[in-house]
Amino acid sequence: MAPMIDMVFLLLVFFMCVSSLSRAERAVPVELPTSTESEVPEELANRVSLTVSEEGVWFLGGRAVDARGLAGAMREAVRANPQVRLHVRAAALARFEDVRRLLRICADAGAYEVIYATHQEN
Amino acid sequence: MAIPLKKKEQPQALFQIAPMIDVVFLLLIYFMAGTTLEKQEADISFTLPGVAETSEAVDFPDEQIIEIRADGRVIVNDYAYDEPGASRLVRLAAMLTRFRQASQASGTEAAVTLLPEADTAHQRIVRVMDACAQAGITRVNFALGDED
Repeated sequence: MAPMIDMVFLLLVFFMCVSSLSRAERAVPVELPTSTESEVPEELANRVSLTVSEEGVWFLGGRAVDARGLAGAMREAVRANPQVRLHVRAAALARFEDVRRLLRICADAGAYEVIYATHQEN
Repeated sequence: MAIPLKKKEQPQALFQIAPMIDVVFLLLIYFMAGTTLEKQEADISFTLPGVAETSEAVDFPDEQIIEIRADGRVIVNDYAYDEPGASRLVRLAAMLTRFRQASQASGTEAAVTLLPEADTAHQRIVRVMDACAQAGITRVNFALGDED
């Protein structure tokens, strides 16, 4: 009986950690656009998560950044990992101008692979 | 015969293990359900125009420029496709499918460059990318402009 309880507790702690980790990763909740053609990814490696809120504020992970901070962070990320992919979580109602300036900065830093986060729609 | 009394006096050391397992399983299932209930985020990807490798011969792809106006109109070669409020760009997808087939027949790759206005909503751009994906076009670019 004791090993089984050990195992169950281990699973419990694992799921608690995973759920809190995934919440910490995308700390900024935005209303994502819906898309019919998007797929839920299997490979999540080499990603830098950027969020664009409806008001046009940028977040790197959960931290708000300005243009200069983003440029520095992206250069650092590209240097550390040239295969880095941008995971852009832009709000459905975000203006293209705000997304465009963000993409521009990332392209200048050398990150060309971009992924838009969406919700699936049938 | 002397019966040892010690054993009787010992307090019950066993604790109820079955209810504890019940509770732990309940918590386990709660967290498992909690992690999967959250709406999953999906992906739609494209590549930004980068620095071309000039050492190799460059295949110039067929390119279509799709304008996306702030009011939701989608315009290719001065012709507006679909209604501004339409959630599925059926006619745009059909046109892009023909475009891809024509490019394929001539042995070049079909590429699409999106040119949204500054005030275009992100959702509208994703709809257009959906139409490109439906048409089987994998090369989608954005015109980012030079100035910042």
